[in-house]
Amino acid sequence: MTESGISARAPRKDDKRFLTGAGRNVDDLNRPGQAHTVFVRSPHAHAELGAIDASLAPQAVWRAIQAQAAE
Amino acid sequence: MTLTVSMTVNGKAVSAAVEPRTLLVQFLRDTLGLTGTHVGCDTSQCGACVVHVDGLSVKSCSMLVAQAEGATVVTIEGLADGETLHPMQEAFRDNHGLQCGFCTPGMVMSALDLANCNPDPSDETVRAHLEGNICRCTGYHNIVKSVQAGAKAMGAEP
Repeated sequence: MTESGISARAPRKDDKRFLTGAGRNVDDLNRPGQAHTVFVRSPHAHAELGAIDASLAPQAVWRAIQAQAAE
Repeated sequence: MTLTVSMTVNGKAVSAAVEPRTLLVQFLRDTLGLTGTHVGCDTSQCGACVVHVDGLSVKSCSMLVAQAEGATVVTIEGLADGETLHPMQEAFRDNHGLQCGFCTPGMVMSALDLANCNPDPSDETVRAHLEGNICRCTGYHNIVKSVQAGAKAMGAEP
């Protein structure tokens, strides 16, 4: 194995954070008032979207999002 | 309803009031902010959430925090000594045993459990031991090399 150039080992510079648990993924964020998104997917493989009925969505969650957006 | 749990995490005494249904991984990530322990699947298959409870590896998504009352817990954040990586972490680095790094905390914690009782595991033994840890970068070859190197390095320590 050569020291540099073609076929040389290239030590990574970004791996320490992953090895020590200091990497940050989106799921690691925890901010005050943080809301979570859940995607409701169509049960139909191929269909036209007529309308969206949001009445079954948890209202408290929906209101929290709207309140945040209004701030 | 809440209940108070107390335990030692990475050498520190911690105590908090939690809902009885709280999982150990939720306690570590959400209550203590130790986000190095990952939730990859929520169904105890992927192994990204492996931590040590009283010296043994467990999937922290499959254990209630109440079951860890009084226990000694070690997570990926508790391995390095300041800037000095643990020999197993160093071995993963030397052998390119990670790509995206998501599975790495669980891989390292599972590997440590093996290395603690086997300083020279065969390729086959490592692969069998890591059955419960999934890497979606498909980096198993280098992970096995890393675990073997790490186990040897740990065995060589005074």
